[in-house]
Amino acid sequence: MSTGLVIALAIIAMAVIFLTTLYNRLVTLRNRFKNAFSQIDVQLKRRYDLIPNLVDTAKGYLAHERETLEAVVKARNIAVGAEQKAALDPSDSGAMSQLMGAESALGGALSRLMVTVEAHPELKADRTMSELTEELRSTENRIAFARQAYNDAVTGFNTEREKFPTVALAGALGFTGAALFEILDATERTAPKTGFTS
Amino acid sequence: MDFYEQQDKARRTTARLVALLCVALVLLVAAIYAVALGAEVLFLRRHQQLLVSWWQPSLLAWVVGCTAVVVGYGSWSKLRALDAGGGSVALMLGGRQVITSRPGTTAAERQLMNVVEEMAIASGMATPFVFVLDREPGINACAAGYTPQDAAIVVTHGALHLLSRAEMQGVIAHEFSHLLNGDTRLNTRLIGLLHGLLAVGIVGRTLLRAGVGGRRSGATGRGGGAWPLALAGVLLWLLGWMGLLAGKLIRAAVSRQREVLADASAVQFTRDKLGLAGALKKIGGAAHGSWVENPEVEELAHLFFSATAEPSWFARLLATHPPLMLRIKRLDASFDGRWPVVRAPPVVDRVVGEQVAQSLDSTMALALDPTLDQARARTQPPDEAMSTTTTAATTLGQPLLVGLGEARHATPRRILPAVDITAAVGSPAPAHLAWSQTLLASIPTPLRDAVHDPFDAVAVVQAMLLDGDAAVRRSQLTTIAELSSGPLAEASLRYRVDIEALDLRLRLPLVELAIPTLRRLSPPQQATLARVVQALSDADRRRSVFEYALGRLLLRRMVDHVGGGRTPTAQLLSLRAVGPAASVVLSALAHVGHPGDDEATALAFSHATASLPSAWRGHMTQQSEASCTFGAVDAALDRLETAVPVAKKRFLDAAAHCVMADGRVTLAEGELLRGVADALGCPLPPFLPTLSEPAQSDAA
Repeated sequence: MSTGLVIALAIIAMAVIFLTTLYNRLVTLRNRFKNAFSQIDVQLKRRYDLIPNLVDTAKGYLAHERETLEAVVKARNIAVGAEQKAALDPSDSGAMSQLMGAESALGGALSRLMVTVEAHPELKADRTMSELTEELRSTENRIAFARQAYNDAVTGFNTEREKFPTVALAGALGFTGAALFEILDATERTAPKTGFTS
Repeated sequence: MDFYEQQDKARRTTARLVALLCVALVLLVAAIYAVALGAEVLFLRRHQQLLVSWWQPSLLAWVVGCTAVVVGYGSWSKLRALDAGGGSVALMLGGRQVITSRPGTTAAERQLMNVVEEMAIASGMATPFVFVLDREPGINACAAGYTPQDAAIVVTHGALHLLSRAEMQGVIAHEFSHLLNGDTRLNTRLIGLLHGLLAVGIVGRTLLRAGVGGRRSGATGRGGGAWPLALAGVLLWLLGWMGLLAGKLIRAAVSRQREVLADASAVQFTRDKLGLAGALKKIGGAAHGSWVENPEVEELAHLFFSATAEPSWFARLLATHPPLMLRIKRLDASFDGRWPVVRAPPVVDRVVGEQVAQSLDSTMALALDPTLDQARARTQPPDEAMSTTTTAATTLGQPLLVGLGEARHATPRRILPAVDITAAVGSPAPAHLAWSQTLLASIPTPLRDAVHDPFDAVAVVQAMLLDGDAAVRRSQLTTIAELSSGPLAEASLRYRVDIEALDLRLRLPLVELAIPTLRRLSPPQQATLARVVQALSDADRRRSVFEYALGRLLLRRMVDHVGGGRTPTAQLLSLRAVGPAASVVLSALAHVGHPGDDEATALAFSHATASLPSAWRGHMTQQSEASCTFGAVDAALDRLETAVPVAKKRFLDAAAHCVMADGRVTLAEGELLRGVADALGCPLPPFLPTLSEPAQSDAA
C-alpha cells in the first residue's frame, strides 16, 4: 500500500464528504424557504376566501359596476389556480413568477374595487362591508409579513448557492436560484395615514 | 427520584452506552479484520504464495482506519442532522406541523394543540412544536429533541382521530415525561451513534452491488477478479447487520425501562390512569395497532409511545417497549383482555369538571398578589448618562427596577413551603394541570388565536410592552413603525386594548404560548423583534421585572428555525465556582421582593443562604441594590446555566426560600423566579394557590 494510494484515497474520501455536506446544506436551506412559503400560502388562501363575500356584499350596491366586480372575481380565480400550482413546489421559479403575476393583477383589480367603494358612501357605511374591508386589510398586512419571512429564507438559500465553490456545483446538483416574492401591491400601506392618536 | 437526579442518571447512562458501543465497534473491527485476512488468504492462495501470518499491522491499520472513517462519518452526519432539534426528527418522519391559525385546521387538531399547551404551561416548559403524520393509521406518538426548548411532539393520524381527549392527554403526558426526564436527549444521541454501525452495512451493500455488477459486465475473465469484491461486500453487509443487531440490543436495554418510568410519570402528572390505559387498550383493539408504516421509523422506534412494528420472534430480546398487556395491567389491574371496539370519539374541547368552575378571581387565596401593578412603580432615578439609544453599555448599566408599587399588606396568604416548589421542577402534578387549564381558559379567545399567527403574535408581544403614558406610547409606536412596519404598530395598538383587560398573571403564560409561533419567524425578523423589544423596554427609561423576564424568555427560547441551539454542556462548575453569580441573583430576588426595605431584603437573603450547605454559605455575600443591574443578573444567570444539576437544584431551592421568606410571593418575584428557572433550564411549574395549611401537602 503505497503512500500515493493512501493519499489518493484520503482525498477522494474528503471530496465525498465535502460534496455531501454541501448538498445537505443546500437541501436544508431550500426546505426552509419552501416551509416559509406555507406561511404565505395560509394568508393568500384566507384572502381568496374573503373575496367572494366581499363581491357579494358589494353586488347589492354596485349593480351597475358589474365589470369591476367581475374583474375581481376573474383575477381571484386565476390567482387561486396559480397559487395551488406554486404551493406544490415553491422552488419552481416558473410557477412562482406566474403566481406573482396573478397576485399583481388581483391587487390591481382589488384596488380599483376599493376606489369604487370609496365613491359610494352608502356602501362604505355598510357594516358587513366595513368588516370585510378591515379583514382584507389585516390579511394584506399578514401577507406582507409572511412575504418578508419567505424572502429572507430565499435570500439565505441564494446567498449560499452563489458562494464559491458551491456555485460551480449547484447547477449540476439540480439547485436553481429561487425567486423573491415581489408584488407591486397598490393596497399595501407602509405608513399609517393618520398619526398615532392615543 | 427527582428531576435533577434523572438528568444526572440520563447523562451517566449515555456514558455507559457509548462504552458499550465502543465494545461493539472493537468487535466489529475484529470481525472485519478476520474477513479481510480470510479474503487475503484466499487471494494469495490462488497465486500460490506462502502462508500469511495472523498479525498484519498494516492490514489492521487499514481496517481500523476505514471502519473508523465509515462509522465515524455515519454517526457524525446523523448527529449533525439531528442537531437541528426535535423539529428535524419530525420532518424526517414526514410530519406536517399543526398550526392552528391555518384555515382548515380540524377540531381534532385544535383539541390536540390545547392539550399540549395545557401540559406545557403546567410543567413550565415552552410549548413544543406539534406534528401530525397524516398517512399513518396506527395509534402512536413520539417526542423528540435534545432539550425541552427544542422539543417536538409527533402524533399519528390514527391517534389524532381515534383517541378521546382524556386518552390523548395520557399519551401526551407520557411524551412530556420523556422530555422532562431527559430521555429524548439520550434517545436522539442514540440514533446518531447507532447510525454509524448502520453505515458499515450500507458500504457492504454498495460493494456487493459493485462486485455483482462487475461480474455481469465482464465476459472475458474480468468477472473473476470482481468476486472477492462481491464476497467482501456480502460479508461486510452481514457484519453491518450484526452491528445493527448489537445496536438494537443496546437500545432495547435502555429504552424499555424508560418507557415504564414514563408511564408512571404520566399517571403522576394527570392522576388519570384510565386515560392512559384507555389509549393502550385502543391500540390493542385497533386494526393497525400502533404500527407505523414509514420505514424511516425503524431507527427511531425507541422514541415512540408504543411498538412501531409487528414483533418478530426476536421481539422479546430486541423490543423497545414492554409488552402491551403488561403496561395495561399496571395501570388497570381489572382488565380482562377484551379489546374495546375502536371508534372515533366526538371531539369535545371543553374541559368539563369542577376545574372550569374555578375562575381566577375565586375565593381562593392567591399566592401571586395581583394588586402589585408594575406600572405604578416607585422608580429609581434614571442613570444620568443614559441615552435613548440602545447601546449595550447603557442598557447593561440600568439599575434594577426595584420599586414595584405599594406592597399592599393584606393578610399574609398561605403558600407552599419552598421545598415543595423546587421539588415540583420536572414533575408537575395534577393540581398544576388543573391550574393551567383554568389559566388558559381565562385567556380571551381573540388573544389565544392571535398568538398562533406570526404577525399577530409579534403585535401582541409588542402590545404588552406599550406604556400607560400617552407620550411614551406615541414614541414607542413610532419606534415600532421605524424598526419594523407601520401596520405592525397599528396592530400593536389595537391589541393593547385586549392586553389592558388581561389579568397581569396571564401575561407571561401568554408569551410562552406565543413562543412556538415566534420561532417560525425568519432570523432577520427575529432579530428585528429583539431590537424592538429592547427599544420598547427602554422607552420609559425604566426596566421592569416583567420586561426583563420577557426579554430573557424571548432571547433564550427564540433560537433558529425548527429547533435550534443546544444548551451548553455542563462545565461541571462546582458550587463554589458559582458562588458570586448566585449571590447576585439571590440579592436581585431579595431586592425585587422588598423594594427599598433593607431589613426585609437582608432577612430574605439570609433565609435563602441558610438553606444552602455550609460550605457554600461562606461565599455568598449580599449585593447592594445598585450593583444588581439587569446586566449583572444576565451574566450571573449565564454562568449558573453551566453549573452541574446538583448546584442548580441547590441554587433554585435557595431562590425559592428567598422569595418565600415573608410568606408571600409578589408578581414580580414570581416572574423573576420563573425567568431564573427558565434560564437554568429547569422547567418550573406555576405557583399554585392553596386553601389550607400545607401540613399534609402531597407535593402541591
